[in-house]
Amino acid sequence: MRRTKVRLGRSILAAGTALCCCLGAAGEAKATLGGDVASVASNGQHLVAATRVLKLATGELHILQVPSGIVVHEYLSPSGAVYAVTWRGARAPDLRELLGPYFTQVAHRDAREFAGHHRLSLVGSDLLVRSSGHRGAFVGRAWVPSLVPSGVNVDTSIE
Amino acid sequence: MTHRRLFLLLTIPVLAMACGGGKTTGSSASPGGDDSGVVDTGTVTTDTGMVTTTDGSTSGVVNSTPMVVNSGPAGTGSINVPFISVTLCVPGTSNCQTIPYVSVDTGSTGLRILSSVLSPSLTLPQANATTGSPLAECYTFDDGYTWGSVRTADVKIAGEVAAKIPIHIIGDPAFSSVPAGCSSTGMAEDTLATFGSNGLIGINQIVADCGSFCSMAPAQEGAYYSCSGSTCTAVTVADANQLSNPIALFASDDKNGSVLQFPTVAAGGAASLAGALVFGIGTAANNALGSAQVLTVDGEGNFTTVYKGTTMSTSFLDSGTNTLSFNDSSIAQCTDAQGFLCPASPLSLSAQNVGRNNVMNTIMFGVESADTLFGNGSDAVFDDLATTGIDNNTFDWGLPFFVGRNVFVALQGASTPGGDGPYFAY
Repeated sequence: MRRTKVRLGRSILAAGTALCCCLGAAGEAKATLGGDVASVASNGQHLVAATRVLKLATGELHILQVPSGIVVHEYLSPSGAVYAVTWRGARAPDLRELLGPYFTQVAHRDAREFAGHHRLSLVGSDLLVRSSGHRGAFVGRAWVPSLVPSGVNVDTSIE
Repeated sequence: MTHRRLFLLLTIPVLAMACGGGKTTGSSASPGGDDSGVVDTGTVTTDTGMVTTTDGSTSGVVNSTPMVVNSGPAGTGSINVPFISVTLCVPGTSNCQTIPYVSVDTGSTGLRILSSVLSPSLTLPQANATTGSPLAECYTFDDGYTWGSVRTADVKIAGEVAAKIPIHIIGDPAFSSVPAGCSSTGMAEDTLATFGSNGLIGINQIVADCGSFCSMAPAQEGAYYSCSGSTCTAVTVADANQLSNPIALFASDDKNGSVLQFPTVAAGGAASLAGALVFGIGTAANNALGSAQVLTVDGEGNFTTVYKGTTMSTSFLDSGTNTLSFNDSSIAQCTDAQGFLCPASPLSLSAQNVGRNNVMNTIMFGVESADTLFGNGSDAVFDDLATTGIDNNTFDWGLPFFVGRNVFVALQGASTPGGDGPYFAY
């Protein structure tokens, strides 16, 4: 928890000035990754999560605090697309909900690399997923390269 | 450090393995049995008379079992995964089966065995939830989930016995309907083809496999379930009834932790590396801390690593990760082995590990191109294999760290000559 606060503080600093009202069209979306802001709200309802929104220098960060303690970050681009999702918690989150149409690439992988079970590095079709951790501390991130806004480095900007 | 490393490598492992390397009767299917071309560390020497006289274990049991890193069960092709054999018995009976190729994972807790490798005659009793209905578990790893029943067994490794403990039977056909809250977490790993080993023994410092996440109401999806027919409902399970690190439930005094021992591996890798998993810390001649430094960890098993000026406060040692996994954008990514690091020439790097007790030491490590290392298709052990990490807060010291070291894993709350767990020492 302490770490999360630190991270948020950093994000706020990075955000600089607050901005903007309208985030893209309010299309109906079941998806989250690759979806729009409405899909984030849908995630929040599904996960019964408390949600906060931070304006970033580039787009928005929606923070979903799931009652189980799992914390989900969803990053929206200035054009309103969810380009990245991260998670951190005692167990894995509902990735079907969070990854939407991209979930099948995670759940039905062809090539299986036998590497122990605490690391995943998936290079999919316009999808990258990394997961790591150990008992009680699972961390992961998934992003859609074609949706990542210019100027955003997923390795350094996404937490 | 160099001198300490050499001392550890050249003396302690040899002595420990020569004396403690007991191979229990019935372990003929040991994964170490098909080794070839590896240095004989003497880990499969069986001499119970010697053990009782020179082992020095206060409980007088054989406390060491062979552990090997190789390509795993036929057709799986593991890289940097350590294995032991584990014997399961119907509680209180001599109806037993020895399971080879059970992977050893310091990053998780509990014994999990594929249903498909169990003999039909090994009828392990079903555990029940507080509802009175059968208990099942969904355990989520980072690369997928396992689903199946919780049953009880006597678990025997070397001379150690954990009687009537809950274990996870992955892919149990009696529980074929996977709850959506489990299957929505990722990929199913309920078969040898998807799980990659016959089972997994989680020997993490934290003794219950789920803790308060599973014990506190409301019950969470993706964890424990009470099953009535094909309908399974999330249920809370008290810590004491969750899967446990079997070591914590050993009948002997060797229940305070373990030591993972591996010699060094040849440059460029090897097909196999033989070591030992020794139970207990400071309970016998073969598990003394010696000059090992104790780094205490927090409730999640984390310490701090400082690498190139970056302080990574959620770092850990994990035999269940097969690489050194950390962020360093200056090291080139591989073109073939995606996600792995491929420096143009081998790198010699260093980092500082700092325990929560502020004990600090410097770790020297190498990173070599994974594309180069994987060029020799028969190799399955590398001490310089690395991948991009998950974030800038985490250095995951996987199996390469354990090669050439004795790594002590002290359990939470356990008393040892180096202080109370949880800690790592090396």
